[in-house]
Order: sequence, then structure tokens, then C-alpha cells
Amino acid sequence: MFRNAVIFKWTLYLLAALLCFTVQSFAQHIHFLGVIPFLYPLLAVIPATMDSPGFGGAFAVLMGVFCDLLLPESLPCFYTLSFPVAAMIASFLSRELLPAGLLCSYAVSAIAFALNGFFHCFLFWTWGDPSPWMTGLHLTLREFFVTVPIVSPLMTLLFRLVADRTRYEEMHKGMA
Amino acid sequence: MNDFFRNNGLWLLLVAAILSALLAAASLTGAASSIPENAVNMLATPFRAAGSKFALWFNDREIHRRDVTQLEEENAALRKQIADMEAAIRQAENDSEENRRLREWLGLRQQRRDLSDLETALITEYTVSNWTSAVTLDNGTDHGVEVGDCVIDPTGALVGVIERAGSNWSTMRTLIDTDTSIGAQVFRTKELGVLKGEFALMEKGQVRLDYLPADSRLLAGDLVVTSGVGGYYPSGLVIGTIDEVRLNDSGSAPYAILTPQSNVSGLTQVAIIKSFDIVT
Repeated sequence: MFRNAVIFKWTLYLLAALLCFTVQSFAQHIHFLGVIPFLYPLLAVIPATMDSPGFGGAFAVLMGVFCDLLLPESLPCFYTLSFPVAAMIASFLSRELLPAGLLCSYAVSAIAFALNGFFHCFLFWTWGDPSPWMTGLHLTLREFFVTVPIVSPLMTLLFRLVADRTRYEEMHKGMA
Repeated sequence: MNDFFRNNGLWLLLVAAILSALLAAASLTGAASSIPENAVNMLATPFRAAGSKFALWFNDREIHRRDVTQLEEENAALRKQIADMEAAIRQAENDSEENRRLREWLGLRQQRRDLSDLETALITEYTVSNWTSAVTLDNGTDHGVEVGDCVIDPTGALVGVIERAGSNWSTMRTLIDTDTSIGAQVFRTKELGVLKGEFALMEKGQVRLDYLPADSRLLAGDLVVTSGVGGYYPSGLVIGTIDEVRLNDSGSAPYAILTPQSNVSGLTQVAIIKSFDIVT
């Protein structure tokens, strides 16, 4: 019974993620402020605010693997490494400082984009790029403002529905 | 009624005979119509005219209806014909565009006989991330594409290098990407250098030519081509032109900023160089 609840939970989360991946494939054709909306970092942090740290971390790792398989990066495991870090911070934030919700989603989205930008710039810098920091900061800010104001509330709503549904399923199965 | 005819029938026949005789006499006597004939015809004229008018109107309506039906059918047939012709024109435009592209590739093949095996590919996705400059192509290992293959545009200018290849897809990093590292040569001075991507320049669509000799004589506008040193990439592929020459922070070594000739955003089709002959 417990195993079924776990399978149901992962299936529902993965379906929600698949929806986000589909939206990203459409969003890639929208250029605003010189950047495309970038939904993937939000996939690592928003679910992590709504579930246990263990599940949030595992889901972030899985999303990171998907992104590394999809996106060309200088470091082949870039997202597999960076997403769990962002998810852990998001999980900590939602448990200790801000309850999961829209405000928390905005905060963790900002953290996710900041970490994504920082890791990218750090990689460029270690590989001999003389001045990636200011360009990286500008790009991170543009990515944040193009993506987060619209996408973050929608993704929060989507994963809130998923989390509530899986919680209900777990309780229901637990009682049964 | 029977009684009336029985009592007056003879009189009626008589009157009819007299009237007939009078009419016959009148017709024999002159060309002009008789008074009764005239009177009857005068009375009949308006009705006759009205009847004629009605018949004409009805006839017109019928002709109009038939014409409209015929025109509608003709119009529908013409519309279909126009649609067919437009479809044919569109097809012809597509064909001539494809023909033009194939002629370009053919011309390139004739110009560059060292590029022995070219595989044309369509660009299916332009931007995949804000932190890299890469595009996705519709050909992969099934078509013989391998990681490290050079990609050129119809003019023969270098566009990028294949970074990942799947069975029916491949990812190409463009020249401005931060991972770019290609041996280059300045066409005029024959000086060698290394083309390197830089994050800040990628945002501006430019790339850096590094490791130039200290006494470099580069000028803005100089053409840069692939050097072919090492045999990894073909030599002589056009990379771009130099925008400016700078000195590094210590002031000891020059480097150049250049803009690649090929602009990926304006391309729909590219060619992957699957193999080439090393020209010495």
C-alpha cells in the first residue's frame, strides 16, 4: 500500500515536471530582454519547499539529470550538482523561515537563479575567462525578471495541487 | 338554360350569322380595321402590354437566375483554379528555394574539393540556454555525424562544431560559445592564433583571437580563417573579420576581438563536414 502511494506521488510530480518541460520548449521561442525564460531552476526548488527535504533533494537530482541530458553545458553534470544544493537551501528556507507559498517561491526562485548564475560564472572564471562576473550578474537578473514574476506563481499553484493530492493519497492509504 | 336556348336559340343563331356576315363584309371592304375589331383590340392592348411586360420580366428573371447560377459555378471553378495555381506557385517557390540552396552547396562542393563529405542539416532549435550558444540540428549518428565535426553555412563560413550527437539529432556549439577553442589564421599576415569564446563577448556576438605573436601586425577588417593545424578541422574555412586589436592586462601580448561571418539566427540549413582531406 505504501509502495503504491510512493509510485503515485512520483508519477504525479513527474507529470507536473513534464508539463513544465513542455512549457519550456515553447518558451524557448520567446526572447525578452535578450534572454529566454528559463524554467528549469524553479523545478528544483519549488517542489522542495512543499515536501520533505529527502524527497525535494531526490526530485532535484532527477531534474538535474534531465537538464544535463537536454542542455549543452561546459560541465556535463552541472545541473545534477547545482540543483540539489538549491533544493536543500529551498527546503531549509521553507521549514525554518518562510512557510511554503508564493512569497517562499519567489525567495527560493531568486536563490535558484543566483546559484545558477554564480556556478556558471565560477566555471567560466576557473577556465580562464577574465571577467564573467558582471556579465553573469546582468544575465541572471534578466533571466530572473523574465521568468519568475509569471512562472513562479503558476508553478507554485501546480506543485501545491500535486503536493496536496499526494498528501491526501498518503493519508488515505495510511488510514486504510 | 335549356329552355332559354330552346326559346331563343334561333334568334341567337340569326344574330351570330348577321354579325359574322358584317365582319366578313368589313374585312372584304378595306384594309382598315372595323370599329368592333378596333374597339376590342384597343381594350385588349393594355392587357396585352401588361402580359408582354410580365413575360419579358419573367424571362429576364429566368435568364438572370440562370446567369447567376452559371456565374457562381464559374466563380467556384475559378476560385478552385486560383487555389490550385497558388499551391503550385508555393510549391514552385519552395522548389526553387531548395534548388538555390542545393546549387549553393554544389558550388561550395566544387570550390572546396577537400571537403569530401558534406551532410546538409536543418536547424530545429535555436536557443536552448542563456548561458551557452548552441543550436540543435536534425541529423545525427544515423547520418554519419560525429562529435567534433565542423558545421558550415552555404557560403562556406564556419558556423560551429558538433558537441553532442544522437541518432537523429545533434547539438552544435556556435563560434561565440564559451567552450570554443579552434586554431585560426589571419588570412593577410598568415599569423596563427587560437579562437576562444568568452562569456562577456558571447553576449555581444563576438569571439576572441588569442595567442597571437607579440609583433602581430593585425588590422581591423582582417579576415580570419581556420588554420587546420593539427588536422582536427579543415583549413581555410572563413571565421570572420577582426573588429579591434587589444593588448592583455600586462600589456605584453596582443589579442583581437572578431565577429564571426556567419550569423546563426539567419540560417535555416547548414552543412556538416563529416570528413575532409588535409591540405598541406
